Amino acid sequence: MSVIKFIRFILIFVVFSLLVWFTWMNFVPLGTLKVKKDVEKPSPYFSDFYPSVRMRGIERDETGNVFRTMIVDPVYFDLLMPRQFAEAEVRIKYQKTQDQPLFVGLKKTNEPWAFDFRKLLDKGNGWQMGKVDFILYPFLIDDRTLHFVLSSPNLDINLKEIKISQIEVILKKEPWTWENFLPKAKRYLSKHLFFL
Amino acid sequence: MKFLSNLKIFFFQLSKEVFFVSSVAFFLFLILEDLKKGFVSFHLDLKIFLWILIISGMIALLGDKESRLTE
Repeated sequence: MSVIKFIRFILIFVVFSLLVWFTWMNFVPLGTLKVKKDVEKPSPYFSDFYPSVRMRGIERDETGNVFRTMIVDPVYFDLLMPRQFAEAEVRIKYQKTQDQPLFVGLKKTNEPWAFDFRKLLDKGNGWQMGKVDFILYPFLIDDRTLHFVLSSPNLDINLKEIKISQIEVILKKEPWTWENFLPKAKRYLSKHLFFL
Repeated sequence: MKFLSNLKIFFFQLSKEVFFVSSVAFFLFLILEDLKKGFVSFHLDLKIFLWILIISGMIALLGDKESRLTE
């Protein structure tokens, strides 16, 4: 029976550890959260690209890069954040010709086409990692969701294609410190527990 | 023979423990997920818990039935 009690303790410990881990990942006390969308592996943080007809299915090149090809501009994707963040650094692994620009946009308001665009700077024609930054406070955060767009004007008219392999977003906020922990906790509790 | 029968009893008892703990965990995680979308599902597929719950529950039920028959 003591073995069973020990197993019960282990099982409860596993569930409790999971709970602590979920809470840790939800509050992001260190202030930085890196989320990644591989075209092959769907991520719970990211939506699929939509409209899906503007991209071809999953392909693999001779060097082993897995990618989807954007054939019509623009395509959208959403990012559901675990909580509010102050900044987002968007890194995209892509391949395209240098004469065809690629922009990453983040939705500002609920109006159609109200995006703020950043251009990805090219370093050649091969696979490259482009990076753009957004300060999130003026943007539309629709129930913890950020709405992104990938745009390349006249992509289909110019008969060009853009291969997208990976999207990585590094979300940043103020980390917890001994000084700011108590005021933050008070603010959080007063927001979520109306009687405080 | 006694060893095998003890092992069987232990296995059924273990399934019962797994069933109780995983069912409590499943409902706890379900409530947390309902309160805040992504709290659990960002990190864990709740279907895994449901399967553990179903399989352990069935084994525990089987064990319960067998122990009643042998009494």
